[in-house]
Amino acid sequence: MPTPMQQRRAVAGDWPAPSLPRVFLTCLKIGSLSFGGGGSGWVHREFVVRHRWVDDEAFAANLGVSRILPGPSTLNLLVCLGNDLLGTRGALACIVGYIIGPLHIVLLLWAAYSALQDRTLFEAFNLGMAFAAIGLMLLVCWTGARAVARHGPGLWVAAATAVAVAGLGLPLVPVVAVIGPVSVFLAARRLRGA
Amino acid sequence: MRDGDLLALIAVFVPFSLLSFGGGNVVIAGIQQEAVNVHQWVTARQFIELFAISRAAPGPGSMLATLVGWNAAGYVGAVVATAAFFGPSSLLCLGLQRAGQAHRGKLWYRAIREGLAPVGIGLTIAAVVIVFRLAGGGPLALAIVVAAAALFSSLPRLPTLLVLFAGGVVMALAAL
Repeated sequence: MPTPMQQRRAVAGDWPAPSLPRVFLTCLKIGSLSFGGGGSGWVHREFVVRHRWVDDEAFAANLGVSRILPGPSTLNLLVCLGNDLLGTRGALACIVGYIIGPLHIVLLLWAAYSALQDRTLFEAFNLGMAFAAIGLMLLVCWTGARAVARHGPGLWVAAATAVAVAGLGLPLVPVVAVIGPVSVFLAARRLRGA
Repeated sequence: MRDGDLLALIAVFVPFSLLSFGGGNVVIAGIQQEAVNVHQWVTARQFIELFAISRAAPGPGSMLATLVGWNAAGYVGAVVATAAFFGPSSLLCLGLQRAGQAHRGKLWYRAIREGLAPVGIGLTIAAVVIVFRLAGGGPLALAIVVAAAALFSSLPRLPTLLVLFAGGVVMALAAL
């Protein structure tokens, strides 16, 4: 019985299907190259834009769950997508692929940093990459906002969450504990046809 | 390296993994307490440097566990700490995903996914704003953000790292 994702892909057409090696290598690439942060931006660029393994709506839904559960949201996101595409093996391949690069790279960076005399240029360079990575994240915010705007008060919920956490500086867990159930309740009403 | 160190790394990082709502930042203070005060794996001064480097690395926002593990017990310590910090939360996520799968068509399952999606986007927007502020912001930073976003959206085939690199070079040149 094909998953909804597989059914959507069958309709979408002729993009190369995700195979375990391909997904693993993509996660390896994302993990190893995502300097400056914005991992979910990378996942979007690779999984949604480049490979068309996932659409924006499924991406946003998985991103929501990933941000709320404990752990790095990019890793959770890859676990969800990996499982959706290829089951438990897919999820495990994503975990290992994503983590193994950064694990070794951070150790190398630590060794190099300890050896560096003047670190100002290094720090400026890192900062620049972080800002460019924010640019990548803006794309996720934009496409995500458009995807959630399609369903009822999605845009208002997103705005309220953003204002609460970034504008008012409220801590994440209580904000989600309040807004989350409200949003879910409204979605349930909408789906039920109220 | 003593076996006690490896067990201690596991005992420290597994609970933090399950508590790290919103990413690793929430548990930084706790990790600092354990690494510096309780187990003395690193000094306070070293911890600050570890933190900066863990942010510079690609991948998850915080490879702090890896570096603490390295300082505690070398390469094996780094691997054990990494697994202890990322394993539990990932397996929890996988478990919930798979448990929910059987109920894919059910109303409450779809309501949860559809209801949480905008919350996730809101948190993403908030994260972008907060990181931008924390990093000091400024007009040059804003220019890099906007230019990068424009490049990413108009040229999907452009290598991502190239744009990041360009941002880094611009900032480094400005620092000269």
